[in-house]
Amino acid sequence: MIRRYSHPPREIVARIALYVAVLAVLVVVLFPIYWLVLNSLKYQRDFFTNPPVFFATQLTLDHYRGVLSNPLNRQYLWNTFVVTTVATIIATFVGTLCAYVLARIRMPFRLNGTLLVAILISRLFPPVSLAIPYYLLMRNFGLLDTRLALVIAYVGLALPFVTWLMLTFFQDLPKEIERAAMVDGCTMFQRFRWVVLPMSVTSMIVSGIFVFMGVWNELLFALTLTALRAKTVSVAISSFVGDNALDWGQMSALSVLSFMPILILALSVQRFLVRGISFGAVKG
Amino acid sequence: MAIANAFTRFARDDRKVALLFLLPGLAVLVLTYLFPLIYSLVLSFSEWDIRKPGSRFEPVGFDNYADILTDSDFWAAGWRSTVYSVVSLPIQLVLGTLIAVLLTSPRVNSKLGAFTRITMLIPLMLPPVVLGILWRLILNVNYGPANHILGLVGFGPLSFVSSAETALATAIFVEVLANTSVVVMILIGGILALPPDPLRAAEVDGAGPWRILLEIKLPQLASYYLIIILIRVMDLLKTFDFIYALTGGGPGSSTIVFNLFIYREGQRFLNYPGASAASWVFLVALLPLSFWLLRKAVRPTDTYLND
Repeated sequence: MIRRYSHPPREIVARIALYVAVLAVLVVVLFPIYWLVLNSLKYQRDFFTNPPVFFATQLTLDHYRGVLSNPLNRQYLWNTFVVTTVATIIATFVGTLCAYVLARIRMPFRLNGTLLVAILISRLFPPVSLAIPYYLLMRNFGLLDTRLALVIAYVGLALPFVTWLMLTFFQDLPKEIERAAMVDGCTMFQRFRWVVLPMSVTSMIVSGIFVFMGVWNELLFALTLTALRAKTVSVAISSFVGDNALDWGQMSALSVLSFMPILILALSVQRFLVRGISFGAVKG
Repeated sequence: MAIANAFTRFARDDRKVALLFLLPGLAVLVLTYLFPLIYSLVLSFSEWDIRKPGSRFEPVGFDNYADILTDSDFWAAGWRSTVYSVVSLPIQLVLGTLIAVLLTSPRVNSKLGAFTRITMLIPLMLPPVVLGILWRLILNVNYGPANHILGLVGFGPLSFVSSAETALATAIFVEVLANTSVVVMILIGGILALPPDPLRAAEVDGAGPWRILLEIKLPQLASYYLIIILIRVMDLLKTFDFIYALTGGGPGSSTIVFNLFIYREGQRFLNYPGASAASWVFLVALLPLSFWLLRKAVRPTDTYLND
């Protein structure tokens, strides 16, 4: 790089323009979040004013208290947590097992290629084409409005993503160590448990976190398969639109509460996020 | 003893253990994809009313498909999804490229660039429902900050999602703001991975930053653009939750995109055979795109342990 020792005026103008652009990006991204948090802390009297209150001098936790004192909301949060955790653990383990075999063992009848294509096509499916049969089938089996129904649907939703991500991980993992273990007489199970698994923990956690985020945020299946007992936070937030359209404070407070865990998770793995994003993440 | 021997023989056979490993995944695929899809395919060729107890599937051939394909709402919804995707994608690509170049520019403080990059993850992590609700608040015609700020710079109040004429455009606007980050994230990864030598050579030869960007950087990023376009197109066509929360499909039917149409056909109008037929039309229409994506994205394993 050629070092410039002085800044000609043109260079200064260019720099100012670039910083203004960065600032604009930051404002556009951060203002909505600021607005949401502000709304969750505003007093009721500050909502319906013109001009709107941009900087409230007095803030309150009333909306959070209101949200959390309602046993239904606590149940929705708990449902979301249970369903998401269980589905994430199952999908991550099942997907990892599949991916390992697809990356390492040539199966008869060209099963590897067929399965891979099947799994990837599932990833491309519009979930709405599954939501309708899910609703009818769960109804037939008496599973509507149960957390089990949601777990089943979400494991299905997340499996292709986990398999795809873990497959590329295993394909990039050198086979030599496993070959050596084979020579030493290790069975496939032993190789997987003692050689491969310890090396895969990070990748599994990363794909697990992606699944967690996708499932936590999912709306369509939750909307279709639950009514009250198994309802999740997404559905609760979306129903503010119809029923309590004017309760902006509680709506914002519940939104912030549902976003918090995701934000913390995301920041903890932001190094790996790009990798997950380029696999399309788990999108409902 | 015999059982123990059989177990050892089983454990020694990689292919048999492999089948055991695949079993749970196969079960999930059959349970959550194969079976429901066959069910919906059968339903799409049947007459059935959920409101009549004891009603059975009566085969009716292509009747449901004929009904759906002559329904003007079906075509209107398909058209909205197409507009939504075709308008959003190019804007996101251009805007995303500019932001990615901006944040990796040597003239921008690298710490500020990195901070902005992490900040841009927020809209991606935000639950789509929250995103919809949030922008509803911001764009509220009477009390939202958007119209107030527009008023300050001399623009009249806009109706945003409260009028049928502007609702879809507003949804596209929010979609662009929220999901341009996908483009930025993937492209920054690509730009940082570019080999430095050609860039340096061009600089020494006196090429300006725009020429370097257009003639050296962008062509090398082609494969990244391919991934972005494929992911975005699939996700744009599938959009449901965010529009559901932002507009609920309204006002009127002005933002009923295709997936919302299928959902309403089923869950609101209880026309399950029609909804199944519509989703099969959608699936078949997406098929060429899906296969193309697969051929680009899938790298089958070349050598296996048991070869």
